[in-house]
Amino acid sequence: MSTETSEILRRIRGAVSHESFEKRSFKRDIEELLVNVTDDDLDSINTIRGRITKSTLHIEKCCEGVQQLSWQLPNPSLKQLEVVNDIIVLGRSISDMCDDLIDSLKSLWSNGVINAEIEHFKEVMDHWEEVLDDAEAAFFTLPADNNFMQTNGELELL
Amino acid sequence: MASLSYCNENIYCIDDFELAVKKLRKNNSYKDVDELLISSLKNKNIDDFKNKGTNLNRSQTHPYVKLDVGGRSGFRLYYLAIVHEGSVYLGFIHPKTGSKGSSNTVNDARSELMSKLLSAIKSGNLSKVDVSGLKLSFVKKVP
Repeated sequence: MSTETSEILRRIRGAVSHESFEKRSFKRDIEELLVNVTDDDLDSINTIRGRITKSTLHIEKCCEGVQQLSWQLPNPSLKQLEVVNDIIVLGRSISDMCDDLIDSLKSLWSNGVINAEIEHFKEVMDHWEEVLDDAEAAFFTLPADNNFMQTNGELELL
Repeated sequence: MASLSYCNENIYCIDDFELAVKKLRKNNSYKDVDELLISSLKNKNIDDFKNKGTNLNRSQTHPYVKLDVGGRSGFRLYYLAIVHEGSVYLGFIHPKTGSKGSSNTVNDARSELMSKLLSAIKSGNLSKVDVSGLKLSFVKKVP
């Protein structure tokens, strides 16, 4: 694996791992903050708002990073594919955690509190799932499709 | 100032793309489709069509790309770029949300679309896409 490619994969895997860790602590913190939260508890609400916004930005960066892999790894080695697979698996676990997280925020969004941030967070998470599906297609599903690969071979001759 | 390296004169599409755009225009929810496409296609050089979206075949010379246009509630655009020609071939577009919105395209459909693009390029059964106006216009290419 070249140093540059290795660095790209390490960086994206690191970002996704970090987000996975963040999500676990985020959910725990949110559950604590939501105990006895009231409309007047602006500090708690603002803390949650800040965490959601930060998390949304991180996921958007991860989306860009994973999409870039399809441009940066034209001929991945087996080892590189294993790392890509790890990123996809880890990424899907973040999606599952976020579904739980959104559920745990229900007491806020069902009352119209920080709705815009939660809505944006949900949209970004939907996009994240799609990006992971596309990465799986580009690295695993489509290369295993004989028709696709045959057409691709003919295209390369144009 | 116009740049000779822009792809404006080298943008083509297959019938599926033209039909999809014409159908979307009829729906008020998607009336921004031309504006979004023109901003994504006009005055771009071939490098602007690379390194964006997901490169589904991971080709550096003939990337087959899925690109989000217009953000989260926009459209999914599929195109093929032939880098050495500086040409772009638009395959399909579909909205993510609204009455005609749909989930992510399945891989069989992506494979079939790439095959259609290849056949159209080989046979010349393409339309030239004019991006100079407020709306895209399509002129059947003479083979």
